[in-house]
Amino acid sequence: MQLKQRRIGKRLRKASQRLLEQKRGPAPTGTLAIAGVMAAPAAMAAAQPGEWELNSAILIYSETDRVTAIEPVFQASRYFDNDRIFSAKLVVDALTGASASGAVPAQTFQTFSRPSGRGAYTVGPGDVPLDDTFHDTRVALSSTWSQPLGTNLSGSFGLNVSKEYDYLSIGGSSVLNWDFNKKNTTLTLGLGYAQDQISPEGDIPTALAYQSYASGSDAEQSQSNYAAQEGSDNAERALRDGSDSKAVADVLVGLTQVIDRRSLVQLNYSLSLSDGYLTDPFKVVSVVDASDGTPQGQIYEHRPDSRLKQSLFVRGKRALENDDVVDLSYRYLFDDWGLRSHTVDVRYRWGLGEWFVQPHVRYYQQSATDFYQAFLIDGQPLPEDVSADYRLGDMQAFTAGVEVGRSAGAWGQWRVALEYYRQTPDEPSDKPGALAALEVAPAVEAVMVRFNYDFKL
Amino acid sequence: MPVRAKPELARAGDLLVWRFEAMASPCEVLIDSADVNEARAVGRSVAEEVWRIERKFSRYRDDSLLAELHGCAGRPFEVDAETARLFDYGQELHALSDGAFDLTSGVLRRAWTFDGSERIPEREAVSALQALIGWSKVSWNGRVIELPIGMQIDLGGIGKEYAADRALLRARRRSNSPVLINLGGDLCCSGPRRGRRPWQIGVDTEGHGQACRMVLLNSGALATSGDANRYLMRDGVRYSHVLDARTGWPVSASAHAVTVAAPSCIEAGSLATLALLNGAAAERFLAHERVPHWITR
Repeated sequence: MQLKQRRIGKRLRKASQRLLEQKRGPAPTGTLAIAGVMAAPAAMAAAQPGEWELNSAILIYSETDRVTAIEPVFQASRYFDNDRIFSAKLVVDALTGASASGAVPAQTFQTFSRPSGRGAYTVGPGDVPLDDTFHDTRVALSSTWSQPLGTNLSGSFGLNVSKEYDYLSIGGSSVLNWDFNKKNTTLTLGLGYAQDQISPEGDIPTALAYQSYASGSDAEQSQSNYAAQEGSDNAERALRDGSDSKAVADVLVGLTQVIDRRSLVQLNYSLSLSDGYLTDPFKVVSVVDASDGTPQGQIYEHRPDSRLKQSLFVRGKRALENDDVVDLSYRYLFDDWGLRSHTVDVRYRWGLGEWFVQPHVRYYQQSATDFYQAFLIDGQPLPEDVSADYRLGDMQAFTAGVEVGRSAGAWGQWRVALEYYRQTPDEPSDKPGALAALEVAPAVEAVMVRFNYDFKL
Repeated sequence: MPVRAKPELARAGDLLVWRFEAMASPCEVLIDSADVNEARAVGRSVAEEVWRIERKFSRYRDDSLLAELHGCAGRPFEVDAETARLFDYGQELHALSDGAFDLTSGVLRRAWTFDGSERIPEREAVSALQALIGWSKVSWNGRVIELPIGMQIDLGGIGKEYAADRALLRARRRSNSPVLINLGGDLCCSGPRRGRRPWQIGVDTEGHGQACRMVLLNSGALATSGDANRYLMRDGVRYSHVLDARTGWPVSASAHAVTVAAPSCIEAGSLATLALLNGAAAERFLAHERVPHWITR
């Protein structure tokens, strides 16, 4: 007795998946290969209901002569039945060091008022003024609940609070993911809203008001000149408000498409609208003499009170035949402040058994905002909005690094990354007089080390 | 209840091996790890899961779920979700084989004993048993089964493969190290070994107790149906132990053994069984299904 000759493979596959309670969908091995590609560099076997997954990391970032940051991160995720996940995350940021105040260097010693009005600091000839009062610790707490909302729809809902000495941010977000086309396509909609309040020490400075300032041929002379006119800005200080606030709303629309079992592409459009106090109360702009270029003083910067940022992001990821992974991405960001930026990021994950090595390079290029000016010319009318913050100017940045990790083993997974970062702002072209010989916007170099350790309980 | 050898952990090359006995077969768990405690924990969890399934579905134990069901023959019997999934699967195999595979065909063992002898049963004895065989005589709605009196369910054809797949899920929860589970020749692995090396598997297709073929497995499962030592021989005719449930008689011209590779052990085992039931057309059947396979005639 012969059986009919026909292909039964598909029905048998479905039956065995039902028997083993495996999720049905496109070829399971294929989707898994891609899931592994999509997840963190070292993707663990997914945690099971009742298990905790713990992710910890510490990041150390150090700019030459400037800011040093130590950032520990700890995240715990609890898995429940039916793909429901609760996760809580704690981030601590400890910052120390100095950052550029926005003022230009001079051929003389310069003494600046601290933004708080308490005390002053002096910089030498040719030195970029760095405000060394920069010292802060940020603590951020966030929690997320994710769950399926239907056969092909899942959602996550989060709350986050971030607190610094002079800053408080409270926000919420939600993300919806809709799978269709046999789960080969995912449409993502993300919404976020945050309300921030800033209460700087010494209150909110009056925009475009002059700060106390003096210069001299040596440090002592500069400081005594400063003492003689200290308090010239008392009238302005008396007018200050204690705090100010801003609101930020974010929208993200994303599309992830599985191309085949080894590749996928991701396309995101995001929009971010900020409204309120967007000025940096610690930044100033030097006012220099039109002919000899010597600083005459400096004013507090002022930025527009709203900003609409939009960005387009495209990413392609492909697992090669030997399971190495190539990850390419490009982001174009533009806003109504006139800033445009391009970011190209390339990673290659090179698998060596249970070890991996991932070289990484990134190139970033930015054009200045409309109101960016490295300095103002004395005697000319003050613009409504101005900032000399080099981060809003023309610049390029380059990152190169490598990450090494172990993706298997009973003791969880760890990885360590080392990156070098170099930011090169463009030097302003029209520096008058003595300023022409000075470097207003020197390159900033930084080194970053990050260690990650993931485990399950 | 057979006396079992105490499970033990041993070294085999650079692997750790946990050996135990279950389902009347030697079983082993290969763990690609140097951590003895981890290997022992994985081995234990696998053995516990296999023994659990054996206890639940054994036809030899009088405290098994099947024994309870057989005691309720003629009356509706509600089963748990796991049992229901197994019955559904058996029903699907019954349909896919046009009735040649049947969960109720176990009673044929009363007439057939495949011991290499020439004791071929009487035609009448087999015909009498045919009255007790046929999934179509069973009432099954996905939750409640009603078995006509005298009929029995035997999960022998799918139980071991199912246990291997289930045990692998347990092993995966315990450890991220590569694991291979071998339940008397039906095996499945969690993925390639460390360093992306494949598992090297010797397949004993002749039943001589030694590997005749070397198969490299990177993922998924391998299952073998048929056994060169289980047959009857009379008047120069070889009667294979593969019985067609529709006739109660061995499939003519069936292969001695069929080994199939598939994503899961249950799928591999079912394809191997269906290939045997296809008799002389086993090669054609498996070529058509486009799965890696090895046939011994």
